[in-house]
Order: sequence, then structure tokens, then C-alpha cells
Amino acid sequence: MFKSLPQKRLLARSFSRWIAPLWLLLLALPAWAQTTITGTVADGTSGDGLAGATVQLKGTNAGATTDARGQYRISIPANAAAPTLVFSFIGYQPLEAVIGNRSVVDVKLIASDNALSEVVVVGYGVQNRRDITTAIGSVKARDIANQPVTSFDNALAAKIAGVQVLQTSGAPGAALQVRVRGTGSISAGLDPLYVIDGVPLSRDTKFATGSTNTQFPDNPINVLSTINTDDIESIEVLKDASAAAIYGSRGSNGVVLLTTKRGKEGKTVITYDSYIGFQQVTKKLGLLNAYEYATLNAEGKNTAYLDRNPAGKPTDDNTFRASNAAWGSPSTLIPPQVTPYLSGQSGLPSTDWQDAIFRTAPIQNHTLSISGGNATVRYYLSGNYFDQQGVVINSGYKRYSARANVDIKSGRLTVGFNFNPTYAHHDLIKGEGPYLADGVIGLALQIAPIWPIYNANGSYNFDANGWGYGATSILNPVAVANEVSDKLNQLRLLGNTYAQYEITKGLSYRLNIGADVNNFQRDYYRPSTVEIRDRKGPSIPTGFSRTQNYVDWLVEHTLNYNRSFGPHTITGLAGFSSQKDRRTASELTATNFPNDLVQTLNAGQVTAGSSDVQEWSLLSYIGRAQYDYNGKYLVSAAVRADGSSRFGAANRWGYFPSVSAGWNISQESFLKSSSWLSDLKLRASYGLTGNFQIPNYGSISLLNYQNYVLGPETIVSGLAPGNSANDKLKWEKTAMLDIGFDANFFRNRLTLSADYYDANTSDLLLNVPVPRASGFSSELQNIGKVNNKGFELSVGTQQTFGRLGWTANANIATNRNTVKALGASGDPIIVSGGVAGAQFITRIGDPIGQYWTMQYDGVFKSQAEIDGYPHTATTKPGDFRFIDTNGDKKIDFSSDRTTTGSYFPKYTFGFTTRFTYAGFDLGATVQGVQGNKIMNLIRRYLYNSEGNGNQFSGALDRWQSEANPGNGLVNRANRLSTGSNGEISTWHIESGSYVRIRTITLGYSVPTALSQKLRLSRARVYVSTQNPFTFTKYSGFNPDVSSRPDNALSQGEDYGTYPLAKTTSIGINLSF
Amino acid sequence: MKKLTLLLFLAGLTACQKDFLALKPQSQPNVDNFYLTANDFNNAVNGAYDVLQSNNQYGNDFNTLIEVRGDNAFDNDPSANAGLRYNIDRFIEPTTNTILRDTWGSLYIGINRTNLILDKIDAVTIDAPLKARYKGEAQFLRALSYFNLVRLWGAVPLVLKPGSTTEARSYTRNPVADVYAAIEKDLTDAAANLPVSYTGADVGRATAGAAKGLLGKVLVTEKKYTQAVTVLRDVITANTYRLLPNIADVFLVNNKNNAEMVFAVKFKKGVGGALPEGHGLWYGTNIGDNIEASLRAAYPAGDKRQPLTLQIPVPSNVNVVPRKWYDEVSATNDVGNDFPVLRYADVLLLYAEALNEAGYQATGDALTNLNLVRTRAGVPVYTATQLATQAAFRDAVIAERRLELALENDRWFDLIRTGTAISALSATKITAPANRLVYPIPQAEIDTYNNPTAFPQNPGY
Repeated sequence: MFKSLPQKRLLARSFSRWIAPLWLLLLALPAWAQTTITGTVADGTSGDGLAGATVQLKGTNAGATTDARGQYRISIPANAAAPTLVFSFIGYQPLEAVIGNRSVVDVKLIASDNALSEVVVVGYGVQNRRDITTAIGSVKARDIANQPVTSFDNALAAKIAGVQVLQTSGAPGAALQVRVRGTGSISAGLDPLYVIDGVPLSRDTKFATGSTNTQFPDNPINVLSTINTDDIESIEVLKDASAAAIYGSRGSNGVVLLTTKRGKEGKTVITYDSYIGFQQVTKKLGLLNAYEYATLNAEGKNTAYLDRNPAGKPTDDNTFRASNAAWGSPSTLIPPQVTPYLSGQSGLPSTDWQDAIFRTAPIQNHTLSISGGNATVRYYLSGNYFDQQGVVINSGYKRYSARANVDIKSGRLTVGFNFNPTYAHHDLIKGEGPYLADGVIGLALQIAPIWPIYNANGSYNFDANGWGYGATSILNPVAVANEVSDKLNQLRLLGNTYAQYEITKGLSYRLNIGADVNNFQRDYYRPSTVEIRDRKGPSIPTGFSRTQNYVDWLVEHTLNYNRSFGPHTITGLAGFSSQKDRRTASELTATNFPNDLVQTLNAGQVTAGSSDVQEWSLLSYIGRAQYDYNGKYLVSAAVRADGSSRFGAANRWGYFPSVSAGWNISQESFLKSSSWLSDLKLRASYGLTGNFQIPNYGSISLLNYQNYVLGPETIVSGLAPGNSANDKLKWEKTAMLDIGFDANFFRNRLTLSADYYDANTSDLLLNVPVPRASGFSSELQNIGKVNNKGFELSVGTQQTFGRLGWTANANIATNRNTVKALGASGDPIIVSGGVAGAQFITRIGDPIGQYWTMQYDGVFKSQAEIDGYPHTATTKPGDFRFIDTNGDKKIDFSSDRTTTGSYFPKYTFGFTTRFTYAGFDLGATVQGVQGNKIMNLIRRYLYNSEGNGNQFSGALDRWQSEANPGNGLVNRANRLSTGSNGEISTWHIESGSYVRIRTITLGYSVPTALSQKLRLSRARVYVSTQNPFTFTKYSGFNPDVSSRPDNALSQGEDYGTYPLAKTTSIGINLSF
Repeated sequence: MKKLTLLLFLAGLTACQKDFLALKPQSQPNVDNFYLTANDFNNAVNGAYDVLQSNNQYGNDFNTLIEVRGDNAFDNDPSANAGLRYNIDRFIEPTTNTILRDTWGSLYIGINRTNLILDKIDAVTIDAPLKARYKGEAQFLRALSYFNLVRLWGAVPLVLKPGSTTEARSYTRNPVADVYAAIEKDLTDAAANLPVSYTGADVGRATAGAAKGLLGKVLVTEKKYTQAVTVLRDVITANTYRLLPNIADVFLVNNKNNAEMVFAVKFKKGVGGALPEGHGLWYGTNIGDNIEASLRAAYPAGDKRQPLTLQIPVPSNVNVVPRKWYDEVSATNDVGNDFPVLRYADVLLLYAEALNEAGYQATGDALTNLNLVRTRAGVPVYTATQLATQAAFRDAVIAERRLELALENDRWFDLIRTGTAISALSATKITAPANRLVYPIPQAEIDTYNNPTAFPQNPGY
């Protein structure tokens, strides 16, 4: 593993950085020397040891946790009177045991009814799993801990049925695409609402970084990456509209509730969690080497020449070719740089540009926390350092964060706060986007391997820029990655404070004040040493500096009521909430830097400056009532009224009601005594939610600056309307029906949960095409309907075979997306992706954004084949054969288009399993996506046989002559491609199905006897690998790709993407 | 305590809702507080000029729709940009060609901007001469947009007042004659409203001469030659404009606003940022020639205009451009040539043509004016015996227009109005179907109206 020298050095460095401090910590521990009690905590039925059970000396903070064998060791002060131990474990009934004279206390815990007694966080409250009547997915800390990922949402992949997590970019700190139950919107945002400890986050910060290129936007940053995964206690995903309706106009895309760890009454616990690892790209693409490339390049030139001069010979030299204007163009001349390769001369440059930009990159994470408390004060404090370098040179992400969660209880009053300051630093590179937008990956794939990275004098080689000979200008990707400086710093202060007062028994008032303050600073500098495409020599440096400040505040008043009267339990909630978000942004752009010595804007001439303020506000009334008869019959109703500044004046308020009901059949007398059925609940829910992720001022006709030039080169300011007004603009609304059940057999041996849902989204926001004679091409209107329906199934098991413990969870989800109505005329919406011919169609009866392209059917192998089938005017043998879809005996690139696939998977699945045996644990997570297609536009360059850039190695199988047609799939080499081979067709569309092993982890927990000698209550070491294997036919880097993750109409395009990393890490978990 | 908390709760409920939710954009002006002052209208008029710079108009696409379509330039790359330009060159463009859609849209964006000005300005108190000028500028720009629309597409919706997007759904294709009538009216009004010239930072705005000159061009296009003679003579006798002695000087980027420019779309390179004011290299190419050889061959020996069509390299750039549109690229990789919409040589040739069509005279003003242009180009003047008939004169003046106004977005329209498009294109080995002398209505518009009666496609598409 640690073969190369840099890695060894890295290991040495990391030893001094994190292993050494750890040992210091261990030595600094205070010594406690008292009576020691040992024993085993075991399952009452099987007798197996229970790992992780809590043992506490009653009335004190002294406590211990059982090891993997169920053994514990606890120290008892000598002066303790009638000491009693309290044993507790999730899913079991707590037990008290008086120690007496014993030094060994073994106990057996009786399983409580089932795991359904666990507490689940719901909007504005908590509920027992048993009482839930809606579709809520839940993930606990232990399920996501220790994974080498930047952000918790990445660890969420494969865990919850119907929650799809796509890592569209491997760039450290880049946003993920999280979709709950499909895509219910076309123009509004698609992200779920994230609520952290009761504070709903604004989604706007996602776009804080802006972009370096408007046509090919940068991947947005992940606003959740400031949250330390080690601080998370649980994550709940509110999937159905009834659960999410309490978040009203923000609930349509699902709601993710994040709860962080809090201090518990009892012993002070110090934990240290850490890992260090190495990342490498999951995949390299197979491209031509320099000799193969040179051959193809020359062949392409010859084809172009012979097409124009059929009487010519491939051996005609450049002088002869250039002598006649009819065929003498740069595109028919053989570049002298290619010629030496053709003769097979050895020792010529052959650069693997992927190797040049990829690297083995370290990752490390350290969290130190301390938690504890007494009857009055409870606290959880943590600090975190995370450092991930990217697998592409000069990219990376660092995070420094801290958290303080404190609760103080005094009589009827409880007050507390959560405070989470984070400082994060991104080293950005342009990973997404094609070569023409400085896309580093695209450049590295396309630049010809005949060029060296560096010139003899050590400077970057830019010969591929303005090469001439009809070649596309390509910049040196190493220079672009290394020399362009693009830094983003984020300072975030996230937190809330609350006060809760119990007015009378069962009735309490809570005030919650939250704030999310973000400051982003991005500084970009493109130095003179990086040329501009098509422009030779040192470039004129350009730079920008962007600052964005977000202040988002929230004030919530809620009244909670909870009383039981005999078999009747009533819970009520009434509340009022106001939230406001203000963004101030400023940007300066400068150019004409005299040199690269000073790269801040003061050195250049500022050419543009802007400053901008945007605000939105939301005012809400909340109400909810729940009734529970004897734990058998459960009903719930809720409503939220939202008023928002984003909605048009004529539609300012929206109302979002919901109802749900549940029937715990297993509580009925006829099933209560069942030995096999531990629990069975049927549930049904219906609710209305909204999507308010629409523009802040979308209802108002805004004026844009449209300047003109007059007089002696004077810029005069002009203004013109940029959009039409629509004062009826409002939220999109989703009505969702959900029917499901939760079952539990043989006391957790088998759990089963299934849901069917049917969601109708209406008042869909669409940029409806309007007659352009109005002066506008489209208008944002609430029109259109989309249906999402699907099944979700989760199966879980917990088994013990002697000392071997096994848990497994599997889930599978289907979603069918169907457009039901569009615009006034119902016409399909056709949009173009990264290039004009890459079209996507959204039409009634089909899923959103299917590919709308030509169908390709191999190459024409001979002139006879061409004569026998419709073809374009310029088609020659070896060119693509497109299918005459409409059968009119003509190939027409508009009327012969057809739907050629969808980025929506047919189904997704996840599988998580964990084995434990004698202190060892082995876990794995598998993620699968099946039945989706990807529009791989990278193939436009890498598989076009034009030879103006490098090609996939599959181009070796190209058509070369009628006698040598290759594999019949790849078109002939031709610099001036005929037959419109470049038209986007199924040649560019590939299956995106994959099965990915996301994690494999092997851990070992040190036995209690040993760990206690080290004064540890828990010590575990583990090795882990992330993304080790992906099984897919996809030819690009990553089948999760999407070049425009926030545009529902054109998803699934790959136009260059930052590849994913596979990470191998070792880590430790220690508790004192 | 109980009472206090309940009070707090109620206080929250009664927070001032209306102000809290009625947030107006602070950093972007909006229509609700615009069109109220003279300065607002100054900005609105500047905004109406701005659209001429658009990539979809003089910034780029007109070159494709007018010169590449015609016999002066071509596109040989069917794989570039999905063949958008190539298809237009070869007369095989589908109705979905996005250049057509975007140019149509851009012209109506300009029309809407002028409609808003003309609709709102009468309600506002502005100094009378200034108000007249703003109106005249808007009328001129609206007429120019319609003139381009009607020549590219034929019958188009004639929209003279701002309408909502809902109202726009009931627009129909108005007859070509109605569109021309509106253009004539706008230009006549504009000529009355606009000043003869400007000073300082206003130079470059539309003048009375520009309105009259453009009206002359419109009338020649309509074959209303007698009227054309009258307005064009006005422009000439006003002595505002003149031919520069050296044709190459007309196009130099350091000689903008010269005495030959009657109206030009103005650009400035190197501005960069969100609001660039430059354009890409016109006819810039690195893969080969894109100017028809027949154009260069048409120039007589020694014609000073011929070198303007030769492609020369641009420093620090891999492309070559015709000398007429030469400029050095800026740091932001754009150039800043102005585009002459109407220049004095064009006025002289239109005048000569109109005189000839109104009544041939062997020697007269028509021949004199035609020869003014030839003399300046350094080629021998025509004699009355060389152009002994009206038809001979007509052929000579159209041929002269090609040489003088090459790559200035006139040729295709000249071919159409003289009925010579198909024959001229056959010389470049391209077959132009008769129905394709007007472009197809963009498919997006056909789809939006979805009404073949009120909004039919042009025949043959």
C-alpha cells in the first residue's frame, strides 16, 4: 500500500500530527482507584452478550459501556452506600441490580416489546416509532459514523428507501444531489429542506460561490459539509406529504431533520474519533497513446484530403496539398509534429495526461468531544478538524469546526443553546465543464498525448493551443489546474437558543430563536502563464473577488400539549414562526495585471464591480393535533399557513393541511399474545406540501442593465425589462397519498416496512414559452402537473449465532415520474444541454427530461449499404447510419429525433450489513441504481474520430476501409467529418446502471480488560475502504454524473466531471 | 409567568405581516418605478439601441442569415454547432434552427423596448425637444427591427403597443404591406422628430438623415422609386454626410463615427464582465476560407475594395478575418468594430438605382452618383454608352452594390428584391428552392400559437 516515497512521508507527518497527540492525551488521564465490579450483560432469551449496553452506578455519574462480548468493568467508590447498578440498552427493558457483596454482577436483559419504542424526531417534536403514522426514514449515528466522507448526506446513500443520494462530482466539498421520492419540479429547486436542531436552513447558500463560466456552471458547494458527521445523533427523512406538511411551502421535496448529540446526565465521557486515509481515482479512461493518436490524426487528414481530391494519394505531401485551393486547407495538411510518430521513431513524448492531473491524495478527520452533565446542566462540546485533498491536483477542502450544545433545567424552565461555528476552505479547480471552459478534466482527456507537459526550460508547454492544422485549441490541463488560483473561504455560525416553560402539567411554551450566518469569500486569479484558447503567448491576467454574506434568522413560538386520560392520549401543537433571509453580495473583476507577482485585485485594473442585496421572508402559523387510543388507534391532523415575499401579491398565503392514521393491529387482543408477530402497524396519510424554491422576485418585472456604446467609445447605461410580471406567482403544491405498514417478527429478528405513494404536483412552475412577439421568450407561470408514484420496501434482520452477531438491512425503491400537464398548449418542452444538438424533451405522458436525439445504428460499411438506406447528403462509407425514425426516406435531424432514454432509474436499492464476532466487526454498504441512461457528451470529443484531440482507445476499432470495417461501431477517421457523425445520437447515450460497494469496514474493539488498563471505556480500531468497486458498463468516470444538477429539464448529461475517489483509511474510536 | 408567556406568544402572532412579506427588490430596478422621468427614458432608449448589438442581430447572426445565406460567404462545417450555420448556407435549415428562433426573438425584444417607450412617454412631462428626440429614436429603432423582420420572414405580427404575454397569444401574421406601411410611418415620424446631428457622447444616435436614408432603402425595397428619389435626394442635398477619400478608412476601428456613417451599430471591445460591449471576430476562422471566391473574382483589377475581403491574421489569435472587419482582440477576447447599417455610399447607390428605375437617363444624376462610388474605389467610371439601357444600368448598380457593400448584410436582400437570388446562388453551386427566399417561421412560434389559420408557416416548410 505505502509504496511510494511521498506516501511514506505523509505517514510520518501524520504520525506527528495526530498519533502523537493522542498518546499525550492517554497519559494525561487522571487515575481512579476504587473497588471494581465486572460482569456480562446478556440477552435474556439467547444468552448472547450485548455490546454497547450502558452500566451506571445509580445516583452517580459513574458509568461504563459493555464491550463487543457484552462484558463491562465499573469502578465503585468505597464509600458508596448500598450501591445499585442500572443496566440499559436500546430495545431492552432497563434493569437495576443491587451489588451487595458481589464483585461479579452478570445480568440478562429482557427485550422490550421491540425496537419501535425508539424515539423518532418529527417536525416540531419527537414521537415513539410505535406512534408514527407517516413515512419517516431514520438513520442513527452509528449507521453513518467513521465513513471518510466530507458530509453526512454522502453517508446517507443506500440507507433509506426512496432517498437517492447521487455524488455527481468527486470534488472535495462539492454538493450532492439528494432526491426524496423522485423529481416533483421542473423549474423550482429539487433539494429537500434541511432542518438542523429545529432551524430550517436556507438553500440559497448553495449558490454562494457563483461560477467562473455561465454556460458551464461550476458544481455548487455542499452547504451541509460544514456539519461534522461525528456530531450527529440522528437523521430523519420526512418522506410523505403528511409528515412534511408541517413545513408547509417547503416540504414538497421532503424534509431532512438533523439532530445533533446532547449531553446526558451521568459520567463525563470524552471521545476521540479519527481516521486517516488515501484516495485515488476510482477509474481512469482508456485513451490512445501518442503513436496510436498520431496514426489516427494523419488518417483523419488523409480522409479529409481525399474526400476533396479523389484523385489524390495519401502520400501526397503538404506542399502539393496546399498548392490547390480546392483541397488545400489546414485541415487536410499533416502536422509535422505528428510525422515522426508515423514512422514509429521511438522515444518521442507520449504523455498520459490523466496521470498528470490525478494523484494519490490524503484525507484525515479528527473529532474530540466531551459530554456529560447532571440534573441541572448537560453539555456536549466537540472540536473537529477535517482535511481532504482532492484526487485532482490543486484541489482540496479543509474544515475547522466546533460545537457546543448546552441544556440547563431549573424547575419548570429549561433553557439551552446549540452553537456551531465552522471555518471551511476550498481549493477549487474547474472540474466540471468541457475543455472550452477551462474544464481541467475535459482538457486532460482531450489534449493530444504527443505534447509534453513541460518545455525543456521547465515552463508549461502550450503547443496544443493554436496548433494550427485545423486542430482544436486545447490548453495544458496541468497548467490550468496548478496555476489558476481559486480559493473559497466560508465562515459559518449556525445555532439556536431556546427557552421552554411548563405552564401547567402537559402544557408547555417554547421559544426558539435560530440563526445561520454565512460569509463566503472567493478569490480567483488566472495568471499570465496560462494562455487563453486561440490566443498565443502570455495571457492578460484576470481575477475576481466575490463576497457573499447571508444572515438568516428564525423566531418560533410554540405551545405543546400532551396529556393522557386513561386510554386516551392527546397531543397538540400550535405555533407561529417568522423567518427572514438576507443576502448581500459584492464582486470585483480586474484585469491588466502587469505581472503575476501580486494576485490580489489591487495590482490590476478593476473593470467591473457590483453589489447586490436579496431578501426573502416567510411567516407561518402551525397547528397539529394527535390522538391515540390505547396505543392501538392513532390519528393525526396538521396544518401550516405560509406567507412569503416570494409569492406574487395576489397569492401571498398558502395553506398546507395533512391527515394521517395508524392502526397497531398487534395491540389488538387477538394478536397481542402472538409469539411470532411482535408488532404490526398499518398506516395511511394524505397531505399537501409546497415548494417555495422559486426566485426571490419572480413575480415582479425586473429591469436589466442593457448598456450601449455612444460617442467616442463611451458606455451609456441602458435599462430594459428582463422578464414579464406575474403577480399570481405562487408555490408549487404536491398532494401525496401514502399507504404503508411496519411489521416486526420474532422480536427484531425480522423487520419489514413497505410504502406505496402517489404524489401529484400541480401549479408547477414553468418558464412557459410565450409568443416572442411579446418581447419575451418565456414567462414563469404556475402551470403543469407531474405525478410521482412508487413502492418502497425495507427489510431488516438481527441475528445471533453463538458469538456471531449479524444485522442486515436492505431496501429497494421504485419511482415512476410522469408529466401530466404542461403549459397552455401542452406542447413539449425541448431544451438543449451543453451543445445545441443535445436535446431533452419534457412531454405529457413521459418522465421529465428524456433524451431527444437521433438513433444511431453503427456505421455504413460500404457504398452499397449507403445506397440502400436513407443517409445525409455527405455520408460516405465509414460514417454513421442514423435511423430514419419517421420512415420518410430522409435523414432529418429534427423530424427523425426520438426519445432515447431517461436519467430516472427504474429502481434503486441499498444494502447494509454488519457482522460482529469476538470484538471484530465487519460491515459493508452497497448502493445500486438500475435502468437509467446517461448522455455522455464527452464522447463528442473523445469518440468522434476527428483526431483534433485524443480519443478513446475504442477508436482503434474504427472503420478504415470496406475491407477493414473495424467493429462496425466507430466511424472513420476524418478531420472534416462527413455524414454529420457529430450529431448527438444514441452513440452518445449509455446505460448508467451501476452497483457500487460504497464501504467495507473491518473493526476490532479492544477487550474491556485491556481497554480499562488503558483507562478507556471503549477502544476500537478499524480499516475502511470507500467506493472500492463500482460495477457498471458506463464508459465515463462516474455514472452518478449530472452536469446541471439543479436543472430538472436537462439532467444526466456528462460534459466532464470530477471523478470520484476510492478511499482507504484506518481509524480509531476511543472513549474515556 | 403564565400570563407573560401567553402574552409573548400573542405578540408574536400579531407581528406586522404586510411589511414583513412585501419585499421589493433592492438591487435591481423594476418596471413599477420606471418610465417616470426624462432620465428613465434616456436609459430606456439606450436599452433599445443595446439589442442591436446582440449576438442574434448585428453582433453575429445577421452575418449568417444574410451573407452566408447569400453568395458572398459560406460555411463548410456541418459538424460545428450541430450544423446551425451550415444548414442556413445550404438552404436545408430545419424550422427548429435556433439562430432563426433567437433572431426572431431578439428583433421583438427590441420592438417591445421601443413600444414601451412610445406607450409611456406621452404621460410624462419632459422637455419638448428631448421628448421628440426620444420618440424619434424609438420610432427609428422600431422601424429598423420591422424592416429586418419583414425582409427575413415576410408577414409577421405587427405589434405597435406593449401587450401582455396573454394578449400576445392572439397576434396574427399581418400582411407584408401593413408592416411596410408601419415602417414608413415610423421613419417619416422619426425624420421629423430627430435632430440632424449630435455632439459629444450622443454621437451615434439615430439622426434625421438616418431615418430618411433608411426610409429611402425601405422605399427602394418596396419599389416605390419616385418617393425613394425624393427622400434620398434630401439626404444628399443636406450635405451632412460624405464619402471618405479612402474606402479602407471607413471601417477602421480608430475612425469610428466618420462622415460616411449614416447609422452604425456601435461596439466597444475589452469591456468584459456581465455586460460586454464587443463582439467576436466576424467571419473569423481557423479551418479555412469562408468568403466565396466569386466575390473576390468579381472585383476589377486595382479595385481598392477587393483587399477588404481578403483574410488576414489577427495578432495573438489563431483566426483570420476579412480586412474589412479587422481588429486586434482584447484581453477579454473580443473586438470592437462598428457595424454600418447605412453608410453614405449605400445612399448614393440607392439613389442611383431609384433614379434609374423611376426613369432611365443615359447621362444624369444616376450615372454621376454610381460613378462617385466607383471613382473612390479606384476603378474606371462607367460611361453612358456602357450602360445604354435601364436594364444594363440596373445590373451595373446591383453589381456595384455587391462590391461596395460586401459583407455588410445587404447582398441577400438585394438579390431577393431584384429577383436574382436563385440564379446568383447557382453560380456558387447551391440550389436555393424558390420558397426559401423567406425563412421559415421559427418552430417554437408555430408551436406556441398552434393556429395554422392565423399563424401559418411560410409555404414549403
